[in-house]
Amino acid sequence: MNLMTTPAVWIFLPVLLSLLLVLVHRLHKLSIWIACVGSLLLAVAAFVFPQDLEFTLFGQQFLFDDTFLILNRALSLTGSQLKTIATLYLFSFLWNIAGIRFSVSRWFPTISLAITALWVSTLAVEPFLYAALIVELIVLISIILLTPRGEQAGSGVMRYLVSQTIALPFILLSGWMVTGIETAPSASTLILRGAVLILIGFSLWLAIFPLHTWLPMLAEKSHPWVFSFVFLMQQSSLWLFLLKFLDQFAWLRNLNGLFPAMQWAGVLTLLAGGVLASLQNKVSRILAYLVLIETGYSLLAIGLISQGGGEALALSFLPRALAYWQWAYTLSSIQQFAPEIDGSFPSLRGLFNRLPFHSMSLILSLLSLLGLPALGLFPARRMLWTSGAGLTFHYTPLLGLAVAGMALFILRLMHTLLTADPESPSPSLSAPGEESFWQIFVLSVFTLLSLLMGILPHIFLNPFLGLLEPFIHLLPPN
Amino acid sequence: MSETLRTILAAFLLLTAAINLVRRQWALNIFALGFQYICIFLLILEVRSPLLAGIKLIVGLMVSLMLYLTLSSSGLIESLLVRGRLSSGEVFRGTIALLLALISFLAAPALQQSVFPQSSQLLLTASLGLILFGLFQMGTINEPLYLVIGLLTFLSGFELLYASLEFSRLLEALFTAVNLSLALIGSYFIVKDVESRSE
Repeated sequence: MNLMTTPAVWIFLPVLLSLLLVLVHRLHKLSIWIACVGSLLLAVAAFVFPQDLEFTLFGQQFLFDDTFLILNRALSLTGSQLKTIATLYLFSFLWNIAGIRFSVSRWFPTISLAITALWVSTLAVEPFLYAALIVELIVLISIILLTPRGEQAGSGVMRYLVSQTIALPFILLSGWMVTGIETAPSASTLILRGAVLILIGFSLWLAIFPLHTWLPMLAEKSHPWVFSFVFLMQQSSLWLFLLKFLDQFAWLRNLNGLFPAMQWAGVLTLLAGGVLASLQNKVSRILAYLVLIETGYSLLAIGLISQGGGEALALSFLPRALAYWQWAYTLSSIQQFAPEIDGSFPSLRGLFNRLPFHSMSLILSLLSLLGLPALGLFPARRMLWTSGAGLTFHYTPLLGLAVAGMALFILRLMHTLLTADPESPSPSLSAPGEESFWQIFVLSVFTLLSLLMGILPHIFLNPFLGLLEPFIHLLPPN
Repeated sequence: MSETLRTILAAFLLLTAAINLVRRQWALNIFALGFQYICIFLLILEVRSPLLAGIKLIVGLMVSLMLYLTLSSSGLIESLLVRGRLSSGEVFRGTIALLLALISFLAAPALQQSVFPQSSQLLLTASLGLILFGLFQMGTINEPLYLVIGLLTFLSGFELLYASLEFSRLLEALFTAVNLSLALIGSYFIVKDVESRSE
């Protein structure tokens, strides 16, 4: 067995590490630090590793193989996928390093590392359709984190499990159905069946409108820190997985009407997210709508792949992660400060007087996700708005409505945070100066990063275009 | 194995799924789930070697045992012999079960002709039935045990179908991992449910 392979380093090693963490999970700080250092090292290694997988260290030459054989099948991680791997482990590091502050499950470091390794393996397994079963395993593992402590499993988590399980047969059957389809005529019924199965499977996985009903229920009951991590990893990996489908199956990407259908599904999901967000009165549920909106934008980006959508998708990876991080961090921190705040608007009244930096951070992370100029997601959003509106006039009012819906929610939240209730001033909301220097510093750094990414995208975001390198058929290099 | 015997097995398989859909008696449900896996093992011998089919049997029995032990350690399981009167809900679900069995029986030939020509009609009827029973169970109940039984039934139906289409050791290993993880999650849900009730 050759262990000098990329899958051994970025899949088996972290899985082993997470098994080790099972043994020390009671020592919460130690397991967090092991997960942090492990994730960071794996991210840095993937980032600096040469693309030809060959390097010399201390005068000795090392050549890594990109394929690991297992049960007559292969796990393959090529040099062009290393940037993706680095990004996923970076996310794992970011969520673990700050997770120490919050009362999330003590299994978080163990499971987050295992989830990251499994997501990497979905991008590595050949035939890649088998990844559907790995996704199911990830869902099952993540349920331990998503179920609140000391409470019974709610409807949200059960619907999540059901929805993700139902997606599994669609993806696996599509793989069997389309074997040898390349030789079939272009209008073959098989092609249409295969495409429909794949699209239904992805719609269930990604909770595309109208299959999203479990998302807000799950967000309300789960810890925001856990929810943001699980769904950031899921979104990031599944979009790349969908690109892999489109890259590998010529019949799928050449299917008439596929990309316009994706554009419409993206715009409608985005619209649903924006409109539903505008009506929300609970910030704990809003992360679900943010996920829905991001799903809509990403789907629109893939639908607009020939109009620069791929670049928009790649450029949104890091800013989206940072915005989720900032939102979840701030919300978790507020809940830690004041457990009496249940996330409803009335409980947040006048919070600005007590926690000004946290309040500003909530608003700024939302503005970044809205796509406000000079903030992280603006370059990607601008590309999509321009391409979408340039393609057909139908998208413009719908996109406008979606953005207006989210903007309305932000304005309502700002009003709530700034306005104290004159009739019943809560004594808990009238004591300023609770934020420590360290918390202010962390929130400021993430705001600054978002600003820097928005102002200097060519420095901070262009390296993420490398995420598209493996998809040479879908996005041929110039 | 003769065709008649296999038909009886398929009928028994659907009967076990129907019991799980209709009756709400935990000991009986776990027993039916275990019996369901025995029927699947015997049916899948049509397309798998006894050794590989045996893996599914062992996994299925482990899953059933895991759920049974969780329930019995929670002190919630009642005797298999306890008989309650049929409720209106059970009558309704019984009717639905009959309807679902009829749909799978009627849809299997057309499905075989148009989509799965290499699968036998009997296997298709059994797998389609399990998938439909599982889906209905998942869609109508929120109680952890029944949700997990629904998921396991749904997955078993799909595994039965997929076994007739493709074979891969890796896929078998992943299915095994998914089934065992699902049973663990089911036990986890049940324990949490019991804990929250006792608080």
